[in-house]
Amino acid sequence: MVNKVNIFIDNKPITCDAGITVIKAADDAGIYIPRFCYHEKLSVVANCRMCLVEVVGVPKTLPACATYVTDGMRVLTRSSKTLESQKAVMEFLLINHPLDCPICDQGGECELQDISMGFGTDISQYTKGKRVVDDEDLGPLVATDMTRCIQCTRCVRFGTEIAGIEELGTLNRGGLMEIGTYLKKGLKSELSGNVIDLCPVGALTSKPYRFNGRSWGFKQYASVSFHDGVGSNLFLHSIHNGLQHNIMRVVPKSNESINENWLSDRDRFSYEGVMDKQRLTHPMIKTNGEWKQTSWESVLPYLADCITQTVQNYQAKNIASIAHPSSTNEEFWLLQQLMRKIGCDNLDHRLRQEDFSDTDQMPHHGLPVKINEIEHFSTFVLIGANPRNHQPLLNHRIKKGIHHGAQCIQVNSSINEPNFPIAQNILVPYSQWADFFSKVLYTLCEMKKITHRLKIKPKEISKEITEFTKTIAKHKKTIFLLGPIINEHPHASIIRQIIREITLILECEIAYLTEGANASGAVLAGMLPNTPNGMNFKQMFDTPRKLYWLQNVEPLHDCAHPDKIIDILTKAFVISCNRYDSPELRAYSDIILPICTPAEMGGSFTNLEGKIQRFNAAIKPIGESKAGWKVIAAVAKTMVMDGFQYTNSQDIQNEIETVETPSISENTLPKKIPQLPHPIMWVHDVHELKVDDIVRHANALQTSISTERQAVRFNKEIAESFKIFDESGLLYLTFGKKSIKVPYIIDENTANDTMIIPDTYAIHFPRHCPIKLRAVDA
Amino acid sequence: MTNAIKQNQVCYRTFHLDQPWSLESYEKIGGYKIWKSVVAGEIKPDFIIQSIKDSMLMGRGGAGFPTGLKMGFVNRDKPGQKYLVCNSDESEPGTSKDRFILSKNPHQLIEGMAIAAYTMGATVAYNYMRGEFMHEFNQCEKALQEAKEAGLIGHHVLGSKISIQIHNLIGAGAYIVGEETAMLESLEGKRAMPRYKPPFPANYGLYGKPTTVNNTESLASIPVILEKGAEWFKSLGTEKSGGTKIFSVSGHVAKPGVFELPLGTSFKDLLKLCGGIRNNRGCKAVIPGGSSMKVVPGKTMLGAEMSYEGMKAVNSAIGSGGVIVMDDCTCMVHALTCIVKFYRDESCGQCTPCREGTGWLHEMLLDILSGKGKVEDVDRLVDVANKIEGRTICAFGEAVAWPVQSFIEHFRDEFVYFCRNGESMISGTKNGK
Repeated sequence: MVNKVNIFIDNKPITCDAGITVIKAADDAGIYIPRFCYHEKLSVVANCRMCLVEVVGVPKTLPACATYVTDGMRVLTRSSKTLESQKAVMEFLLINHPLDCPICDQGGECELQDISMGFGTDISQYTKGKRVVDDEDLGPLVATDMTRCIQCTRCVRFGTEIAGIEELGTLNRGGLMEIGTYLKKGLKSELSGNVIDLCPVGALTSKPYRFNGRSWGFKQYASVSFHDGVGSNLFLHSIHNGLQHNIMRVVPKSNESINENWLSDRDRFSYEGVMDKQRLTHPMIKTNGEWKQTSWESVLPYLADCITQTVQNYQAKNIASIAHPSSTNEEFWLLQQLMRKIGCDNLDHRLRQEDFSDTDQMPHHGLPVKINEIEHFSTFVLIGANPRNHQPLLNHRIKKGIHHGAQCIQVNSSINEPNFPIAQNILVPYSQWADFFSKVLYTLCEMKKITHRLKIKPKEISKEITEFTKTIAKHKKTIFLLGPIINEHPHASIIRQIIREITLILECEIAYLTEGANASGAVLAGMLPNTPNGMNFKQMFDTPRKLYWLQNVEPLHDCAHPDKIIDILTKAFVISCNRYDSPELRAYSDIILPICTPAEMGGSFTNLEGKIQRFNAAIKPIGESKAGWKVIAAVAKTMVMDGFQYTNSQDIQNEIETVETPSISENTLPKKIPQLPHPIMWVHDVHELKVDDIVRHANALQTSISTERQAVRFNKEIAESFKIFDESGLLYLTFGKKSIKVPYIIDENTANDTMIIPDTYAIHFPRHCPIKLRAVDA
Repeated sequence: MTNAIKQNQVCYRTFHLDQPWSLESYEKIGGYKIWKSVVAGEIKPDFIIQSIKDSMLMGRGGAGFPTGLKMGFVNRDKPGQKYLVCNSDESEPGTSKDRFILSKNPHQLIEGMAIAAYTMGATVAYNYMRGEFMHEFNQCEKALQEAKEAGLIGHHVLGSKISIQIHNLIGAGAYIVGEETAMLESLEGKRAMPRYKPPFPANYGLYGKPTTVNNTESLASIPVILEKGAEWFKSLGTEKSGGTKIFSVSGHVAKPGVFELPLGTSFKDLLKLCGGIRNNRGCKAVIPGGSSMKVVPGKTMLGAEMSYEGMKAVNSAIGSGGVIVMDDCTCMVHALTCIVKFYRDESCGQCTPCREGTGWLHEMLLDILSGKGKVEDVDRLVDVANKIEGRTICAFGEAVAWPVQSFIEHFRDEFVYFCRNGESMISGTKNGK
């Protein structure tokens, strides 16, 4: 029970919690006190002095942000003494501020402008020259104009307290104090864009948006992140008049239970991809190897005819359909409805997965708890997971937990740099994952004296495994988070089953950090085979089909074994619903249907916790493109099917909600632990800025990819076995006749017998093939 | 008569000895006797605090907060780590008293720190010296080594259960480190930027633990107070200002120097000790407590006594005891510019009024010096100073505002003259220099 105190602000009696600050009490009561350095999510430094207020009985004016309420306190926010203080501080702030508002991107939404209007004076007594500060290049995302900086240090505190890496700091002192990185290396944080929102002036602004528009000319549309399963809430700012028709920028929409006030850089800057020149604008048909633009009116009957013909000639089971896990609920629902109506169950959205045997044991959505409850766990076990890159705002919740005293243990084939302290790091060779966890399970059963459900007795158990088992057995309130490395592993199901068994014994939670914005939605909408006869993603390509429907999929980047898949697609009849043109697309497709990005259509996503979030279009569709679900509905209508009479996406959503969710089977365990063919395995390191088509076309984000992440990484042992002696440099990756020159780094944070290959190079090789390394000069 | 004034009774009491800094010399005059009694349990912490309270020892760093009261803020029985920090960052312009304690009588400081640390229940004490004090640092290190070897400092002092670790360390020469919370930040390895108070260091200090920060002179006085009694110490000074104070006299006197004198000594007597104003000139103005205190006109000062209440009576303060004397050929515009330039350079840059205001003040003064000043600038100087005062996290705002306000209050005509005529009222001073 929190104690209450009674205070007066501007003679208005207010009852508030004891222990809060005056500025918080005033905010809650709707009384505005001007501020620059204060931010509700950051620590209090009380250095801007803008929030000085008179407290009756205290000779000096006090900063409202750092003064705690006491019973009977009388605060005056508009007394002459307060106003005098505010005017004085405002005058000081403006003496060195350039007042170049007409050419400043912050103009119109600048806290300094607003507060100066409200609390400053008309004329400054200051007549001297103004300070000029050198600008620093902070990388492709954040633009600087440090002369405008008012040294509130919000950006500095953000780095320390939220982003977890201290990149910006204060240099020099007194009037020469400035904000900079000192090392001049640019910002690397995956949350760096938030400093743009935090900066009260135009010192830190968005580089891609620079000089592109004025905030007062924009329309604001609430939307949802279309890249990760967190489902961050955001606003799309768009402009549409006769001349312009564009998404101008993205800003966070505050949602305490999901993304708080923050947004990851991927969500903030990916809008550039929406307006990319590669966007498909017209339906196209390939006849005799020639592409021809056509209209929707003529493409739909042709397409319907193709499907009908295939069904008649080869049966419906010769059709297969795959969708990217970032497609909308509506697309998943209608696509599977359409396919099942023609009698085809070959449906999947798990495009990087290879082992599907535990599908019936998987939960419908990745997280067992709400996103804002993650921070209440006291132990996090990250297994093959890298949430910092792939789910930055989920990682922020973990970081908050760590800050409150939780521990994090990381098990991976290569250690990533997390932005919080890790209690224990365990490196497991990629080929040994199943073996590692079966030994952990065995040790755990021995320790707890439980009968072994996994009937395999390991030969020897290393000290590391015993220690790890002891640690996880000791901790309470634990959550295991499984990342993409597990899902993409050739023995994914076996590893998951064993880990599930461990969590059942320990009575702790397990979370699956699935790919894409809407993997949960795909499961709930039934974008899975779901019947014994239905084929999963692997089966569809192991036994090639005659006709494939691809929804949002770019197989080169989105699928496991891209070379094999493209090869099969080239031989089959392919209907591609895509957003971006590419030579590969033209090579394997037979019909191309241009569809919209989520910025141009209404729809919904289901996030990792299972929450369905709707969004609306912010701009008109580009060219002739249509919303994905509208295309599917139109095809169905052309094929004279019943039940596709939807007027908007909400109708579809209502229908999805009536469907019963399938039940989850009990966990089973494998009979043996299979071995992998080659001792040295390589991991396809999917870069977080290459996870879907939109982000792959966002230019600024693509240029922000660090060189370290573009290099092949392996440890010294592998380097020696291939006679590579330099710490870093260039080498050839070779398999069969294929040979590619790539940069590499010898990295001791990589497990034995494991190579980490960035997707730029990984897509050129069949998965799990024995790649050899050769030094450039050898 | 100057002869009647007894000098060097407390902090400088070893100075007459050969090698006053050695353990041997210090023990000769009864050094570490009190610490040994404390360790033996003969003197209780409550008695120590009461004695210091009774002695009327005021914080000698500048603010003059009662030392006994401050030591009582930390509850020694509360479990958990506590720290004592000795503030030897003597950076106040005109002040050079602590450096002689550090270099010539370090053992008395070590004894004082040990007693204070034990009293408040701290097992670790830091002696933070300013960046320029290399010699003083070496002297303290030597002394600390001697004390450790003698078993007076360290684990199980003299075989008892008491442990006191003392560490000497040296800063990087920033003025603002002398502010106690900035010092704590610097000790933690961060930029020396003052923290907003409350919470005060007694609740949330070094690494968030209860901490007391005391000036070198205050801590070095403790062994003498306990040895000779609070009454004796108090009786040295006046009724409200107990004990002695070290005055560092600089400026236009014949023999500048550092003097440890009983509080209440008249300024006239202090001036006599320094051989009077140089070249027998008149005393124009005195800053009695380091450059951040208010300036006092010479005439007023000649009738004043050097004590907390005596300085209050002339609308200034005893501060750090850095007495800056200016004779009648001093141009007050130049003098103020010097002071303001110092504050402009040393502002940490954290709070808006101080960061922006110090530069503005200095620019205006430079304008006046170069003959571009306007009469309105004089009022503007006071206006800007008033706008800084009371609106910053630490007392730096006052430290820059008070000189400006007091210089213009007492010597306004000189400033106005400079603005009107583009040159100093005092002949012989060059413009802009």
